[in-house]
Amino acid sequence: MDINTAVDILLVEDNPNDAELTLRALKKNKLTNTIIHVHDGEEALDYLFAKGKFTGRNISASPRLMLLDLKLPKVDGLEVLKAVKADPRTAMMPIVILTTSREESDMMRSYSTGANSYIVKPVDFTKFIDSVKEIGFYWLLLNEAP
Amino acid sequence: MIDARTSFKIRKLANPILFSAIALLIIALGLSFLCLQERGLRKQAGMEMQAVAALRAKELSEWHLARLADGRVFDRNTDFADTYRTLLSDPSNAAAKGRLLTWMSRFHEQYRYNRLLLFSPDGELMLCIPEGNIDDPALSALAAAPVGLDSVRFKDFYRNTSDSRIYLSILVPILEGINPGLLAMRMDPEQSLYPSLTRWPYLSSSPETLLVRIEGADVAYLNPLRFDPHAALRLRFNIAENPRLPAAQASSGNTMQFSGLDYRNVPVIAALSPVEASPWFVVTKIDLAEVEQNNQGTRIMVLALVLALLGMEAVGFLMLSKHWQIKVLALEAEEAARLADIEARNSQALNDINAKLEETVEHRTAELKTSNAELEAFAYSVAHDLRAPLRSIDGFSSILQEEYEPVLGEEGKRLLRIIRESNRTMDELISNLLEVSRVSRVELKMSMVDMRLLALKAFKQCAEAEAAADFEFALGELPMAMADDILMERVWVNLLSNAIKYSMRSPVHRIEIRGYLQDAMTVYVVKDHGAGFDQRYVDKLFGLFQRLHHSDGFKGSGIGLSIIKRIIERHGGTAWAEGQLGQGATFYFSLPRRE
Repeated sequence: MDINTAVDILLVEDNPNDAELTLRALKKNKLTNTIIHVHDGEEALDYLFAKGKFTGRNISASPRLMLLDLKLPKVDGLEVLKAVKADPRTAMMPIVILTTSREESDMMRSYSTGANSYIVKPVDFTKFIDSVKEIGFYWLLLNEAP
Repeated sequence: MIDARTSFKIRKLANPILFSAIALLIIALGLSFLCLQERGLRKQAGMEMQAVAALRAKELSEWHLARLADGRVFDRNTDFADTYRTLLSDPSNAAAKGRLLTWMSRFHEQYRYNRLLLFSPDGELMLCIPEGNIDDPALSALAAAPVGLDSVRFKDFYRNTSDSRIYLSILVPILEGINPGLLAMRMDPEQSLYPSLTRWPYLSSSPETLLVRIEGADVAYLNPLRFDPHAALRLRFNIAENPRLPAAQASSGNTMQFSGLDYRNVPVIAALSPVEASPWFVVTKIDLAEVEQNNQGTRIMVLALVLALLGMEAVGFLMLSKHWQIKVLALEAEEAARLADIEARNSQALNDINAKLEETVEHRTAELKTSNAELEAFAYSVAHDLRAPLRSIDGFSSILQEEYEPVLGEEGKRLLRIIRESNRTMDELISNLLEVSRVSRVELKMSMVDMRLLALKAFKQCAEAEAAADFEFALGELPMAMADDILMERVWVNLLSNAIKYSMRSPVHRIEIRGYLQDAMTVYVVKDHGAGFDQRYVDKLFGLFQRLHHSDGFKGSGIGLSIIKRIIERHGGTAWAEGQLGQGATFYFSLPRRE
């Protein structure tokens, strides 16, 4: 895929199984138009700010939605969240935290840093599909970008 | 140590007494020295007086004898007598008259007689040297009636009535027989006697010599006195009435020195000496004041010495006292140092213990923090890492089930269902484990909690979830509690959901809730009429993952009571239960009462 292709969803997920299940869930909900999947926080920031292997990408063409896991190798999810919300070029992009942590502290930190939504990935795949469906519909179809 | 201090204190106490005693001793010594000194001075003065008196008496006696000897020149003097007789028979015999006058004038020249008077046996003045008109009635009378005038004798001090002067005379009989005729050798004491009496051997202000004689009951003064120039033959004192008068001692024959009061009534030191072969007594005296005045220097010196000694004593005592004080202070300082040392050692020990304690606390706190952090990390890890494979298992089983349904057949689908069911159980266990961990770690936010309201809210929540609206909920009055309301709500939810769960199959759907105060605790009670439990296994009831019922009998992980126990214990209370199989169960928990 050309790096300047406009994407709808940026999925940041290190666990390949979880990533596959998320992609399947998105596919099941017909939300698979343009998805880019990166495996850690550094790669996510590289993509967003056109660095590293994504050098030359048009920064202003932000994804319409980022699905962000919190526990990531190298740069963790909260730091990615912070960096994205601190830069005016990316600050308006909706970010949905997609994590397994039920810790209240994680949730509070995420919301206070600017996360737009916080979803605990259920173990039950059926429930997970339902959650992803809700997210997709809300942030991609209903939510009007400013 | 204590003995020494006590003895110093006693010494310190004894100081003023000792000081006073020594001061008194110094003063007494000074006074007695002065006393002795003055006594000595008085004695010395007395001896001086005595010496002067004796000397004067001897002089006077000699003078007296000398005058008598003068008289004796004419006594039994045949030439003088013959010539006198011649003149008597022939008063115009100029030769005889001239011869007698020669004799008389020789004596007048030789000694300072006032006058030499020659009387006729019938008392008529015949001749007089120096010549002049002279009247001495006393002598005339004596010449006319010369009673007992058989030898030369004195006419003692007498006042001549015609010229009011004092004289004394030597009377010399000239002839033998009853009317011998008289030669009177008259002396004026102002010239011949008094000057020598008023003379004093050294320059002094008060001493004087008195010449007295006894006249019946009186003592009469014969010479003019230093302090009474007209005393001679005028001043007299009754001896008996003036025992302290030195002159009065003349009658007693006392020749010693003595002290008394003189004619002026002034204290004096005096001495008395009789003048041999005369009626006179010599009294010498000096004012006591003068004697004592001579001692003034000594007195001042003694006073100065006494003061100096007292001063030295004071200084000495002060120094001694300071010395003792310093010693006591030194001892006290030593004691204080010893105590301070002990204290320091104690406080050192205390500090050590404190430091150790602090260190231990710090260490334990650090350990606790570490273990808390570890626990948190563990919980986080459990939440994330254990759940991820579970999610994969379920997700892929689900995909398998859906996308390969025709291949699997009924048995394959049943097995996949078991896998997914077990997966769910595993997820639930992890959730409960995390909850227990969270309940143990979360910070308590204490406030006054209306337990009745909380119980009601929890019941509604449970009743809806368990579809048990037909349960009778007997909610009595519940005391308020100081607690974390979120955790308390969880307690009520867990207890009530348990009660509902285990009562579902029983005929009586009734849950009773009450509360009461017991000592410092408030006890809350939840009673149901459900399955109950065997009291023997009550200890296992609150254990982690312990279940007294088989899992196929009742749903649940058995974690609920364990969580309740932890929450209650974190509030400082206890949780316990009573039950009987098939007769229902009663759960109790207590919370400390706080106003």
